[in-house]
Amino acid sequence: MRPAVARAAGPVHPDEAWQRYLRPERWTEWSPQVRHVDSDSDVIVAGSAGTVRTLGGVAVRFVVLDVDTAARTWTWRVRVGPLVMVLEHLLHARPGGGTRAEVVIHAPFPVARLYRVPATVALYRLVH
Amino acid sequence: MPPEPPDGGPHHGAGPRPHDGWGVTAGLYRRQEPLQRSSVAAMLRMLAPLPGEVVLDLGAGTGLIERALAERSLVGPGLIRVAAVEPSPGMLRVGDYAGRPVVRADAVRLPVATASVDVVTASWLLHVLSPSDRAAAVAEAARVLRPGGRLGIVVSAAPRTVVQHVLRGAARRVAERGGLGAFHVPVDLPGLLTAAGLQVRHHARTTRGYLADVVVCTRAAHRDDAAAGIDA
Repeated sequence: MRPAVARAAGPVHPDEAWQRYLRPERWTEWSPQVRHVDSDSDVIVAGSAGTVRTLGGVAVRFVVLDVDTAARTWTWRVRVGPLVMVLEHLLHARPGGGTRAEVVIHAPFPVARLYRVPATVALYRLVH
Repeated sequence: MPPEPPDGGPHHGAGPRPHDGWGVTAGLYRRQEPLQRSSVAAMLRMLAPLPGEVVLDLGAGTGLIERALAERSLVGPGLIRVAAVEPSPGMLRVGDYAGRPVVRADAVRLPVATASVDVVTASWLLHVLSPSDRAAAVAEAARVLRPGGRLGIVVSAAPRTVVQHVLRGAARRVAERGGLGAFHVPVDLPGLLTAAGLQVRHHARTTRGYLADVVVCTRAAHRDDAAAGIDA
């Protein structure tokens, strides 16, 4: 199953975009589908876990698989009922300033392709 | 168990991660697990983890080791504690780790404290790593083991019969075409184990499912002890 990739670029500095990732309480600032986050850690670290409440009240359980602050990358595994996705997040500094954000979506077909749309919207807000 | 493909190598920080060749085939990988069960069971019997011990599974793939331990009721409060390390996001999506903690990391660079683990397993891993990564993975396993800790290894064994040669050749072609890396017989393994301060305690060959060599070794109290053949 090949993963899908969503991307967005914007003027926000990579350090600020990374801070928006690091703190689960800030996910509602940039992800329109996230309504509330319960996490066992204030800052994401490998092994931290919690639940995201989405638009429509769906509970998405998650566990963080790795966080590389130097590379500004992190990976998490999310589960909704029988559906499991692994999402790899990467931030890159743009040569002219700002950030290019990318998420690699590991999910069954066609979920990976379909999830690109809300993921792209969220990434756009992350870097603007 | 999944390493990174040979063209990408393990991830060491900044920059894009390599192509997840193993992840693409993760569903298929999980379906072939029955062919690994016999060798993995032999390794776990030889390792004999005890209540209170910490077990770290390198290249956990889709979670065969974790489920095998859970099925034997070896995992739980007051029993052994198991954690898994796996680099492939695709494997991590498909895998079932029986509720054990799993983190995304390479076997060559473990996010684990030195001398903090009682048992390390490297099942169906080392023969698909490049020689340099294989040496690094063995050294990392030795680093995280407590003195006297055990390392269990399952690797693809050298074929002996014509049928085994044919089957191995077919598997190798499929793997290389899929970007999964070559299947090397790790002839350098004894030297790597000794260099890492490990002493071989048990060795067996299993023939049910995949042809496999199963090795269990212990970490000496000091590296010089292993080189001199002194028990830990």
